[in-house]
Amino acid sequence: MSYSIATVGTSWGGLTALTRLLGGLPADFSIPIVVVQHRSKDSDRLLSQLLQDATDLNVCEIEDKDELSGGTVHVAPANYHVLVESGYFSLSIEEPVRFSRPSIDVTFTSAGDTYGAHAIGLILTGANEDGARGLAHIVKRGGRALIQDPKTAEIPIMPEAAMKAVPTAEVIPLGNLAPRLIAVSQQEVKARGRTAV
Amino acid sequence: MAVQVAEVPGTGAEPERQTFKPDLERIEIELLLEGIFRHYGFDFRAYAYASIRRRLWKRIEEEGLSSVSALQERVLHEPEMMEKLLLDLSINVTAMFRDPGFYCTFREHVIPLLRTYPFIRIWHAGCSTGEEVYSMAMLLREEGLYDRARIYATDINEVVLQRAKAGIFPLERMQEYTDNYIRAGGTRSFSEYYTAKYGGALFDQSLTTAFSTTVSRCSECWCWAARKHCVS
Repeated sequence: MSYSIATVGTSWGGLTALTRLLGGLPADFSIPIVVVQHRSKDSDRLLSQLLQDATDLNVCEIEDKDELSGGTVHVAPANYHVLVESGYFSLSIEEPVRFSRPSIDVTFTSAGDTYGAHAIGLILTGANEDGARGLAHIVKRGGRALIQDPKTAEIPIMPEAAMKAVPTAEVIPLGNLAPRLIAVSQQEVKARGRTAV
Repeated sequence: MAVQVAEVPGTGAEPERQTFKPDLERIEIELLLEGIFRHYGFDFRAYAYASIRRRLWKRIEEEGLSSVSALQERVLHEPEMMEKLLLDLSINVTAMFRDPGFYCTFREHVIPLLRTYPFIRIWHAGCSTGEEVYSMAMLLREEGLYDRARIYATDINEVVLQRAKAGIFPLERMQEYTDNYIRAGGTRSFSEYYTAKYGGALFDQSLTTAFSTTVSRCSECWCWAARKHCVS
């Protein structure tokens, strides 16, 4: 069985890291990708447009009940939390979590609960600790964790917090993230109960 | 008995103490939602699962309970608990011209179509405290379509519906609403629509002549069931 979803979390300064990561993936990358970047509540669709320019994958903003789709980057909209359901997304306007809406923890936690061992979580550069708990949750449910090496990050706080929460995560320099994600995506999902390598 | 506490970000929940049993939890949640439907008439059975689960666990933790089954006991036997859960499960977040982009799109793409109709009926299903109903009324008036419109505003929660009818909104939100109004393509000055009164912002009551409001209640015992559920 293969992986079902890859969730990516980042905050301020994430555009460069995201374009490096997504730019390195082929158009037929089959695992649905979800991007949660902290955004001001007024932000428009510029992020999606910029990402679309950088990648061969199809980039779209998530609407409520959108289905997870391969070859696609699903981008969390401003001012909503994204929950990963079985095969689709639901949006929520609950209060911000740690001042963030969308919250990386909220999306990652739901991805872990819904997809467990079939989920891959990636944490990139960022200015706060959102995502660390969510990444730990994915790993607790049997999924994989990849973290951008803080030494290659514009702001190391987010990846460092993630490393502290998930000591077994793979730490990968920005330039190698895309190839590594491709390699992981082609692996078989490990059976529940075994430690992810 | 195994204690199952979910880790729900943002609710201050403690980390799990026992193995997560997704299949068992799903059974419990489905039983709870089925019970709510049969006893109260509210049908949440087809709601997005991760979304429902998250809100149930928030209420479970708030009440100091330890499982979905424990919540079910309280909900089925205490109508006050059902009222609390109803508020948890329904979205009450609203604002004037919330999601301004929606109103822009509505003005640009829907209004031209509505102009071709002699009579317009708009239904705000789940209108909460009414801000978005007033927003639609303002938009229609600015577009010259108000006099041919009837706006139906419904909600299962009578408390918020009463507030909608009163038309008094928090003064401290007017700045935010003014910003939204401008970004929604409003053609007048937002402050023309309200006066400071009764400790809040009282909105122009002439905006409400097109309103019909109703709450869905059980016609037998007048409680909040979405349909008749009493056995006579």
